Amino acid sequence: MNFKLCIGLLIFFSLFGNCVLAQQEEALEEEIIEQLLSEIEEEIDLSEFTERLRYFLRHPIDLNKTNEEELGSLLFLLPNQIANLLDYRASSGNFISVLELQSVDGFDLQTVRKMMPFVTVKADAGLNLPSSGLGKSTEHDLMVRYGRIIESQAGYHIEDTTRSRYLGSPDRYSLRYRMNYKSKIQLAINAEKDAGEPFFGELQPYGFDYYSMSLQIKDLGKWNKVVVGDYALQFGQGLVLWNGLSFGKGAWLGSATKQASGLKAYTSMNEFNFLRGLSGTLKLHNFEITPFISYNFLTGNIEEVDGQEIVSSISSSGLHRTPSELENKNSVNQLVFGTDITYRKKQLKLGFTAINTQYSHLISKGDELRNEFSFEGKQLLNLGLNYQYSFKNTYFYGETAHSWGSGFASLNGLLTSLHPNLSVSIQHRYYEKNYHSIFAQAIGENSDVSNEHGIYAGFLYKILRKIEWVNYLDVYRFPWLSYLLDSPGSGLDYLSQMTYTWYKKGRLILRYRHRLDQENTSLDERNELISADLTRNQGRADFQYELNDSWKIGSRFEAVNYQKEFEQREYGWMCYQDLFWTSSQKWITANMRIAYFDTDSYNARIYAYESDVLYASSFPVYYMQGWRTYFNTKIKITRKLDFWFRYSLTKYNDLEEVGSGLDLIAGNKKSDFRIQFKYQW
Amino acid sequence: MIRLFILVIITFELSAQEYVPAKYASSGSQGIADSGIYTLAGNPAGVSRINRPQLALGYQQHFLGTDIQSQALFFAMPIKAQGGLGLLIENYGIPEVTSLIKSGFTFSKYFGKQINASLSINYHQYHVESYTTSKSWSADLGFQYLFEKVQLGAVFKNISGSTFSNEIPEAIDQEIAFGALYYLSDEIQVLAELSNDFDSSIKYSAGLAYKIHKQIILRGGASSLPVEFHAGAGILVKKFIVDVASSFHTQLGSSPQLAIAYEF
Repeated sequence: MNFKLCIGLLIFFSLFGNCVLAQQEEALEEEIIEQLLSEIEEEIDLSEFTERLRYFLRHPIDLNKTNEEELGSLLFLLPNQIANLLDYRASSGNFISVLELQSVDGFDLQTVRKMMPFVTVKADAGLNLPSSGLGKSTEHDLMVRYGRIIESQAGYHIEDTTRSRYLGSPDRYSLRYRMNYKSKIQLAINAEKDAGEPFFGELQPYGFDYYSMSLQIKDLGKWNKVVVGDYALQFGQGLVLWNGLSFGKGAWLGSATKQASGLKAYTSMNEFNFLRGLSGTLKLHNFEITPFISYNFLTGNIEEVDGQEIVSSISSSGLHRTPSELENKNSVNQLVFGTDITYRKKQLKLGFTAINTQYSHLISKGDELRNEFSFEGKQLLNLGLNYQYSFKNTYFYGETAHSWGSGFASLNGLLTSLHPNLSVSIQHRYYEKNYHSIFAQAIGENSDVSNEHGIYAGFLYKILRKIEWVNYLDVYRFPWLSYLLDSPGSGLDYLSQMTYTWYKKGRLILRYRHRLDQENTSLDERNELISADLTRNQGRADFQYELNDSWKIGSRFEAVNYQKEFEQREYGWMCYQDLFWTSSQKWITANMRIAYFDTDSYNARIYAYESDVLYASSFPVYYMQGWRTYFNTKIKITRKLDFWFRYSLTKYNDLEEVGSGLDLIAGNKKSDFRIQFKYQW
Repeated sequence: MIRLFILVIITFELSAQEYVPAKYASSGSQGIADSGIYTLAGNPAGVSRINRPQLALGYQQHFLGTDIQSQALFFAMPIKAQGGLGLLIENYGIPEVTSLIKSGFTFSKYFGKQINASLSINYHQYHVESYTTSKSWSADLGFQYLFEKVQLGAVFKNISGSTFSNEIPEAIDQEIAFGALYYLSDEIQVLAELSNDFDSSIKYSAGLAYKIHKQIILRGGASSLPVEFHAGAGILVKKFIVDVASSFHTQLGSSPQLAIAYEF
């Protein structure tokens, strides 16, 4: 391919790419999310990731100015690919074209194709024009969403004021506003009311239950970035500090290697695990210093023990629907301050993180034996050292952390490309049972980074240009008791996935996953609980194909078998058919799914990603027997105004009630709809 | 003594008696599809095409902190226009308490450029100090098929189903195993194997060998039954090849081992 043709292609992509790529964008989001996640809370907001991807689509990353954090936030580049790219730029000079990426070690055609919509090479970086268009310096986005479950749920009809009940309506409202001035000043405002939460009135005079605001300013003298309001910090491998979304092991080789993005504005609707206050990143020669301070109010359950108020639990759901949830809202104050110092020189990066957390009340570890070594107190100091170094095609990384007065945690690994077609990832983690952390999120089976030792190894092999094979094996043990297991335990997690890709047309994925864990069980002839092996095998075949510019189809079959030792084996399966349609002028897009599922129990449940309105995420769990369908559409009403509508329905066979407790619905159906408007100017 | 005996029984059950040389233990395999002196332990058909006599010694400490050890001596030599001869003597046990000795004599022959086959006759002796001694014989068959970049192997161990006498609780494993070795490049070999002893589930293993330097090879892999990771390295120093390896069991810890081979 000659140079002129390359430039021609580049211009073609940059001029006409956006509309053509809108569908591909959604497909890529789905692909990445399904590679990174296998099971997730249904209501979790993934917009932190999807919003960033959309942002890069409108404001492509300049390959000649970008850095490791920015490229890492794309979430589909391996750290050693990023290191190779930056190394290539340092040694060969600025990129002339995006297509030059193919000359970088570790970048094959598929990776370059994936990157194309998100990156650019500006002709003259010195002009520093906003990428969205000449003369336009400030962009505004306003998005409003409404949704609700259509059927009536028990929690809304309880008259007895002594009982738990939902105090608000089943309606869900959310509002997002974004202002972006030349990518230098960004303002984000979020407001949300969940179903069941009061909206205005005596119980919620401020209207929405949750408000969030962040103002981010870039390139302020020696300060790379300053954020006022809500912000997230991510450093090292997450052993000390990792706010926002954290992905664990997944069907992508890079998923076990975290790529920290440092300081960023927090723009998610998830109402937990972020910092609220002030932070900035100061650049001094090879050092980046990020001091931070935060003061936040948390939802905690406060009990009085021996005349002292203690916190028995802190809620992370962000839900304030019932009298007790409302009473607990803002009951605990949390003051956080600290700093991160990062040193960079060529391929080496060293970081030191210190964070001090103070609570208004004593956090209790509880009486259960499994919590014997858990955190208890009003204050916690965490210190961590992290490193990364790339040498040729190998990327070494790790972090060691200490909670002052208690234990240590350490994680170390490497990711290497032994051959253009073969990459290997190896990682060791060692979290002591008395290592305490408030904001840690790292690779592991347990959500808290403690009481776990494990070895993870995986490889990615490109058998042919069209076939990729990913495997990982994670073997771990818990030296102390853990949730639902009254003894030390061990387990393993194995995944194998083969992907066949039709260039720009479709893909076929075959996935197998095997997990072995342990859990308490009781036997008739024994008086005490004993541990039983718990095995779960999962197989999946997933097919997507673009029939033409307007139509695309997707099909999946998935089966699960689950067995707990001494108990009967349980089975589950699910199949679905998706249909995607785009009008010839791209003004309307629509998709729908029809799924049938049949599982013996919740244990044999199956998760599947669903397409949703922009920035909403749907990752429902399919269990019992029945049908599920949804319809999702987007209409571009004008150039500035977009509209979305989504309706979903689950119909269970042989069921007289759906759900339980306050969420109980009489009948065998559960349906939900949401509408959304977005106006940009 | 009883406690020691129970320990022996448990550990024998836990880790098969078959000695796996460091070269293969480091990638979790047995070397079913490979060639060279160490295949005498996995698939002796692999000595069909050796060019010069070779001698090797191996030692393994089973899970650090226990006294359970394996020692092995290998010898292989070519037979002109025929194939190769091999001798393997291996011992597994706790010194001065128990030992399980296997001595095997192998005749291996190649057919054309692609086929290797072998027959091994083995003598087994099981001894527990101040308790019992038992002896038995067995035979193994090995087979390999070689393509340009891929080698396939199969072995059937203890074809006659020999056992020790009835009073001895120790069995002589009867096992069938298949393996594949793929030369992904000049530097990288990929190994995958599966085996079954007709008594438990199929055992799977897969590993990689990567020549990081013309004298150094790094290896790693994983295997099932029990699930373990493996890692190791091979270093060529003049006519000596030193292989080190260890397996890593999440609860029992590591089992380091060392082997040295010399080519005459």
